[in-house]
Amino acid sequence: MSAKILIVDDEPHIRALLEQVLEDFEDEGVEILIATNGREGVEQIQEETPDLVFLDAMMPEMNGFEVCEKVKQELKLDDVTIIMLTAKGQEFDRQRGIQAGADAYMTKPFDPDAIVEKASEVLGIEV
Amino acid sequence: MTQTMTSLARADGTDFARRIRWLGWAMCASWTACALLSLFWNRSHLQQETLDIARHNAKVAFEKDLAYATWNTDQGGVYVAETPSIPPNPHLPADDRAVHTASGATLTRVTAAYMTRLIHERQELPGVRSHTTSLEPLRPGNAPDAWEKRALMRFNEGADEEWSVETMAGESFLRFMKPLRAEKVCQKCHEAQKLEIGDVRGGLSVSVALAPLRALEDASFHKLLFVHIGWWLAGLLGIVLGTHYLARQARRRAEAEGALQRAFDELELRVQERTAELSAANRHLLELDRLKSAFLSSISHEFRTPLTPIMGFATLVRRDVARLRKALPEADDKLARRADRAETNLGIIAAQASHLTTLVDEIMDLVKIESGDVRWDDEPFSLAGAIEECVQEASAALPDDGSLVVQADVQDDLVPVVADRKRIKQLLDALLGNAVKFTQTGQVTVTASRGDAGWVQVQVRDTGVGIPQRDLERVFDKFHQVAEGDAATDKPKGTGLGLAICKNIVEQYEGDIRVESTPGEGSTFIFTLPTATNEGGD
Repeated sequence: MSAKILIVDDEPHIRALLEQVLEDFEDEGVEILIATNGREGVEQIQEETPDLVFLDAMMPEMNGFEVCEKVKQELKLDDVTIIMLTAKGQEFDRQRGIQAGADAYMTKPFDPDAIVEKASEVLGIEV
Repeated sequence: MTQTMTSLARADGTDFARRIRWLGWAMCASWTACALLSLFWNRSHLQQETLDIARHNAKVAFEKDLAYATWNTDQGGVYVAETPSIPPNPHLPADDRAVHTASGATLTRVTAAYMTRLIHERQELPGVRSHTTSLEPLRPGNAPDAWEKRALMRFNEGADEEWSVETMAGESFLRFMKPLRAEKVCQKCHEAQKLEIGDVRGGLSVSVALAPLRALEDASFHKLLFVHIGWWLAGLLGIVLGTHYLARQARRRAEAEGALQRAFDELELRVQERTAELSAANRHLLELDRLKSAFLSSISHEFRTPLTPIMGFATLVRRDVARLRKALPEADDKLARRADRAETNLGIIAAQASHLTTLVDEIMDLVKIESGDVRWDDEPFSLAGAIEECVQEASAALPDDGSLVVQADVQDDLVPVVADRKRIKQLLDALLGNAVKFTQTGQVTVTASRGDAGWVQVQVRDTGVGIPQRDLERVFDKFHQVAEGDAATDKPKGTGLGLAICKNIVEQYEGDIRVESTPGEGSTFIFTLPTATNEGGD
């Protein structure tokens, strides 16, 4: 069964950017999944149990922290690695993300290479 | 509370006014009583005086009669011409009763008692009646009346003077009587009565009519009454005016106190209103503060969100362009140059976006520090360790050719400082970053040593382009950038906020930051931090 990466972000351009940054992994057989809001993200995580999730913090309906809490604390999906992406750049958000159970935390705007590096590390796939 | 005080003050005032009115009435009553008392006392004094005068008059009349009678007695009687109005005294011994003169005139003997009677019959003093009397009169006409009889009996018991006010024939008289005591000469006439010397022979009573004296007394009393009424009215007027004045003063004071209390109440009300306004303003400020934090967070978010695809796509596209460039046919120079240019331009876009990100970060940081919106995790830590980390990170980014060296020179026994370690590293990073940026070749040295008591001094010295004199004082200002400094390097321009943030961090710990520089030779940034043992800092 192939590895899966889920991108959860309400901003289409950022989704597109992440997709393109990670497209080299697709060549390695990794499946890239997309969700456009928090609720959709939770559904996809439950259905697909991706290996890695890039999760935006600020989203309508259900924000990243709530998604993280739901997945890690309610659904106990410890195998899903969640990397929170925040555009707020505040220390407060980082602490909240870690409390919610996020595995890592990255600030927007992010370096595409750092995303690739993180994905390689989590999936164990070099691109 | 204040309402109660007001009514108390007013009650005090009106109560005081009421007491003053009461006092006024009491004083009027006392004054009237005094006036009446004085009037009655004076009247009784006048009456007493009238009696005293009457008695004095009686005594004078008595003494005069007595003097004449004594003189007469001393002569053993006198002989006067016998006339129908002076008949011979039948009560005298017949031998000595008459004397016949050579010319044929008959003289009759007049004794003291007879002479007194004759004088009194002839001419009474106005308002004065005298009467010689005895319990055993030789002449029946000298018999005493009831009052005289009572007095004579008292004289026999040893009394020496009797007087009283009596009414006779409807008129008021002061009756006065003294005894006439027997002397040797008396025995000449009163031999038959066997008088002993010193015996009460009889008495001379004097009655003084009181009516004329009473008329004088009444006149005096009328004068007295007039004066008393005058004084009484004047006194009443004084009391009424004084009372009225005091009551008015009390009323005014009560009114003034009331006004003061009302003013006080109003002030209190205003204070309450103002307090309420202030609380509202405070709530508003707190709300503004919350909004400000939300606003900053939102601004940060709004900037970073579009910057993310700008930077990301610029990087990706640049890579794509580089790949495409390699795939171009060797001959197509023009296209190759375009591809090179596109790659460079995309690099500029990425770098500018990165610069913008840094600017946003630093503006947010500065605003938060200046508005006190930052949590400072102060704790004692080794400055040497922090400097070492920063120096290593800075060295790692240097070109490998060894033309520029970053090094640390920390005093061995440096005591720990108390501050937020992350912020101090941020400060060191900023100063090192600047030093490295403006120094092409040479050294950047960070030294740390003990400064004044309780302080550590840190210096970041470079051998770079230096700062012109006119910029030295402004380098810590927000958005101030040294034009020549930036022109002298091909590295990206700064935000102009780094040193402003450094100054804020140092000042948070009440330290001092300054710069010394010689253009062309280098700059030294010097700052101080409190040590863990500094009692003055915390």
